[in-house]
Amino acid sequence: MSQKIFERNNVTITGEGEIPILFAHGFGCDQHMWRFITPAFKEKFKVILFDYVGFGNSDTSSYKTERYNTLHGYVQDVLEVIDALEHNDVIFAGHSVSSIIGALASIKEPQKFKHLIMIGPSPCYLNDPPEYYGGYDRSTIEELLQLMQKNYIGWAEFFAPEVMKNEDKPQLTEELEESFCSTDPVIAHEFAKATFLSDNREDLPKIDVPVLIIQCENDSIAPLRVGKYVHSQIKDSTLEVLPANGHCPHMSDPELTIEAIDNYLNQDLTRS
Amino acid sequence: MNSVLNKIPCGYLEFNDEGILTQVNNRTCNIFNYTEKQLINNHIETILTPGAKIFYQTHLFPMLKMKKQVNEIYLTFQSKEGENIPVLINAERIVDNEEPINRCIVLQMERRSEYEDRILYDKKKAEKKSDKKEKLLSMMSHELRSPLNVILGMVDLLSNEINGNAGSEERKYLGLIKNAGKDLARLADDILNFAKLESGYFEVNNEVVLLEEVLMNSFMMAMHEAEDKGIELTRSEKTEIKVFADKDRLKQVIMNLLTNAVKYTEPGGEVILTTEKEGQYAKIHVKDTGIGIPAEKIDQIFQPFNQMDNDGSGSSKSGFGLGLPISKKLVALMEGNLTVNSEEGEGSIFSVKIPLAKN
Repeated sequence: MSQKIFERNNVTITGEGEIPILFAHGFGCDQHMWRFITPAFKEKFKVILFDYVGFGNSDTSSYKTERYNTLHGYVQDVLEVIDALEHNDVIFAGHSVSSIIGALASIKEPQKFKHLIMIGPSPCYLNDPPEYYGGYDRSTIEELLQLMQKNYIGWAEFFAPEVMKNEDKPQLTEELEESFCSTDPVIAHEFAKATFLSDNREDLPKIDVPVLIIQCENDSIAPLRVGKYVHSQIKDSTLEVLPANGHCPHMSDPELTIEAIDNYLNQDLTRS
Repeated sequence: MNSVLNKIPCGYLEFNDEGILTQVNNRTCNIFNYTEKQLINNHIETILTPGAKIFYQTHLFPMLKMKKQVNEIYLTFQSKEGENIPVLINAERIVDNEEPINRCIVLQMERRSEYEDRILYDKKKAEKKSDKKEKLLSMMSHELRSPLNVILGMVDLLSNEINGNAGSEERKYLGLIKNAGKDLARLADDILNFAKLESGYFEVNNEVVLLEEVLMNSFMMAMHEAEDKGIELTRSEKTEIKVFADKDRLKQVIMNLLTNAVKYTEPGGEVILTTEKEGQYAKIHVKDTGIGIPAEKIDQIFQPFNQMDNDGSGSSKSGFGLGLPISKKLVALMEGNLTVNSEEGEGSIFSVKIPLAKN
């Protein structure tokens, strides 16, 4: 069973440490998005990476619309991966929508999680005035879906094998690189809908696990006000605002992101 | 800015990993109606629509960072006045003095974008129409099936009721009602099966099947029809072959081929059912000495509703022409293949290739 789940979700395990830290990629990418920060954790932690079904090198044949047309299918993926690892007390680091997927998984089975690290979380991307401004209205999401659809030809190109340019990081294999963002357009479309049209605001207060929220100062997808909102709704949470732009600090500012995670986890390790 | 870059007939811009614009050429400024000063040191999102901002953050930037290059990415930019400008971009990422820079060519594509939108709109419209058609077919078939079941049930009851008390004329009329009802029920089933197969809601349950069981059943069921028409129906020796297939669906296919062979063979003709092994497959052949298929029509026989296009020459043969398209799809669902060899006036051989069961 474990082997099946490992293959389905393309689980990779590295690192010398004992404490498991599970990195979950966000919308549009796969586990390779973590490669700029994972080396920093390999000494102290057992670093676990995986791809959601339909992304990266996962087993796309396991994709079923009825399971994955809401975030709950992805929540189930996370819980099944942790089960297969036979670990409890996992540190879960999720980017963007994966922060919420991790949160929902921790509500369902809190004993499996020691900490949640949310990078650029948003419980609801849509505006709900006057109380809440997620940043977008429905027409923006429609526009995004259309952009994705019109980029289908471009996307298809990513399936084709090509020699990668890895001059600055020669250790990466070509095979790994090629899969990055090579998502089936139909699956990506459904994941986009599940991500951007869901509203999980009411779930935040139910989180019973300590949480670190990493928020870029200028993030147009999950703005600072949303990060503050998430912080205000989770009892045991720490908000770390990075002096950075964008939605992917683990890619654009890996050092800052490593430092934020390190500081937070070191406090906990010192405490325990 | 290099003077050549200012003269090229497309937009050019550079931005760093933070998304901050570090270079823009004159054409870029003209397209978006900004001055160079208004763009430099501002975020690239200044000239992106809200949807494009998400796409930039979730796809474009990660792809550039990981793949170092992206080609033909469609994006919508926004002018200073808020007008949406569809563009196509090619970009590459270089590291200059340890400073990563993303260089980007921008081509306006307003007219092409409009055509693409129209194609997408028409595609969606066609898909909706097709969905509606399948729903209608499925509904029609159910609506036909229910009263037919009542008619067939009542004919049976009536037959039992008048058993021994009816004249030959009355029996003949009841028989006609029953046969016509059965024909109609078969047509309704064909429509329902076809609608399901087309909509992708059809499932086969493949299992290890004794081919002999399927062939014997189908053969016995076709026997009466062949006898009534004066056609000699024969088959090869009993087979031990085991296949991996859906038993009921395979029977449906073989029955359909045998019924067709009988239907298109003149009295005195012959229909032969044979089997053989070929590699990892079993092959079942239904050979007839019937009218055959003209070369120009052979490609059409697996197309649905092909009988509706007939010029009257085949008008004596009832049906919508759904039997073979359904059989072909069913065999494909069982990971096999249905083919035909035929010559007009010389008869036809229909061959079903189906995977052997693994030991």
